Amino acid sequence: MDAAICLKNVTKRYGDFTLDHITMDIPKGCIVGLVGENGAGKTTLLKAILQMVSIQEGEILLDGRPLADLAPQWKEQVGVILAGVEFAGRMNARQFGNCMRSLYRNWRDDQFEKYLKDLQIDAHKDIKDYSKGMKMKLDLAVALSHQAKVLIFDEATSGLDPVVRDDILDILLEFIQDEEHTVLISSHIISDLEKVADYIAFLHEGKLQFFMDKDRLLYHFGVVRCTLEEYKKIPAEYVRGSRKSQFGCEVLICERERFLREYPGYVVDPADIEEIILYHVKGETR
Amino acid sequence: MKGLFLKDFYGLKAYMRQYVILLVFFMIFGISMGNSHYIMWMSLVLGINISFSTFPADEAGGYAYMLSCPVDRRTCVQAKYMIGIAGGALIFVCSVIGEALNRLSTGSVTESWLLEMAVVLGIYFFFTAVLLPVSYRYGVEKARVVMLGMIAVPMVLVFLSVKLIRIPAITELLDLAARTFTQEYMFVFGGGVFFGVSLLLLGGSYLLSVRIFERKEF
Repeated sequence: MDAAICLKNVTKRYGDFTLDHITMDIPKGCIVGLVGENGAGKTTLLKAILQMVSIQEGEILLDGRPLADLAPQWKEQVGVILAGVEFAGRMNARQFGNCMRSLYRNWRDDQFEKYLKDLQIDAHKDIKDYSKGMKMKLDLAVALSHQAKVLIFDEATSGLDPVVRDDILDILLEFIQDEEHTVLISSHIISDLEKVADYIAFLHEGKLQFFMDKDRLLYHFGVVRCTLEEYKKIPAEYVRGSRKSQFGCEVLICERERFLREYPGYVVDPADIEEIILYHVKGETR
Repeated sequence: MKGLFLKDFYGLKAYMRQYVILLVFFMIFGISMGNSHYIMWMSLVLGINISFSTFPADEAGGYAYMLSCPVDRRTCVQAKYMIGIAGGALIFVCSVIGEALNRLSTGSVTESWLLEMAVVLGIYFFFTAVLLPVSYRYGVEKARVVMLGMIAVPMVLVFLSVKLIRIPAITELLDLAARTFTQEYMFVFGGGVFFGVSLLLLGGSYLLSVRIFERKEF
């Protein structure tokens, strides 16, 4: 599968934080969910792709071409939503559209008007008076009105009610029907990513812990519930995290199928993405 | 670049009524005093204010949004300097209207109007040249502090040196200048040269702002 965005050893240092040698290929025709706790480096990674921050090491390629060699016009191909970033509040949606028409060569008024209507955005009200959900919908309308091939969304569904979130996820699923389209979305709401993402990339303290096909990820990990004695018998190579309580242990293991073949006496439950991440971040390791 | 102008225009439009009311007030007040200098100097204050009133929205997220669009950083800076130059044009237009109204109402012509205009525009471009890079580097709030310093420090220095300390060198220099040059000659020097130097400074300031903005991270 062709990579829409290719990251090679991308490194960015800010004081005591380092986005550490991130390497991954974001395939075309897929939704990639970027997860991690606050300060893990998700926004920094997205901003590095958008050239809002410079990188100290590594390379980013778009459609196989280094970003550094591309003119700013490459952003014609990208629709962006960055949470908390506003173009200007003292204008209404139509005026916002006027600005965007002048910035994007492929701007489509008809498409913008359609999204304003479909997403029930009040085009005459000042953007500063919009609710958070309404602002997000407007950003979505803009991102989808200039024939972008790649959508980069940072926390686009955070703080929104379930109905708006569901609308946004539906639009992403529709967008991805074109095999040339790609979505890279970061979110704290793992359930949203579980619904739509094809791949999950997990960042922890600036390091990429895994970048995996979602189905393979769910198949790969499992949670073993056992006694402390049984836990001690599990080889360290399988253990990704554990939690101990007065009733016993819960252990996140990897390579679930191989583990079950080698240790048939254990009960292994499927792990969801949230559990996988929590064990990686908070679970004890040996 | 048009999109960036539109953004600032829509942002300024919200304050347009206040600006127009202030301008009308300055004109009426200036004419009632028979003084067209008044509108000239007050438009200078207003022009600086208008130029910098677009910065807070940019700092609150506008820059980051612009850079997610197909716009290069140099163009973003260019747009701001164009707004700055438009501010100069606004001062000029308001001053011309003020002078025209003054001539109509009093029938008198303001002496050395053009030269004073050059001084006012020179001051405006000098302030713009200093304050834009400061805004890009340290933010608009710090630029406002610098602006107050730019007004206060020379006034205090002149006051201290001439009135209180009576530094002989400065007073002698002023006396010598007054004896040597006519007032008009000094105006030409102060107006023409200062205006030209300010324009040159504005060019240098643009290059500096581009350099600052290209290194800035959002």
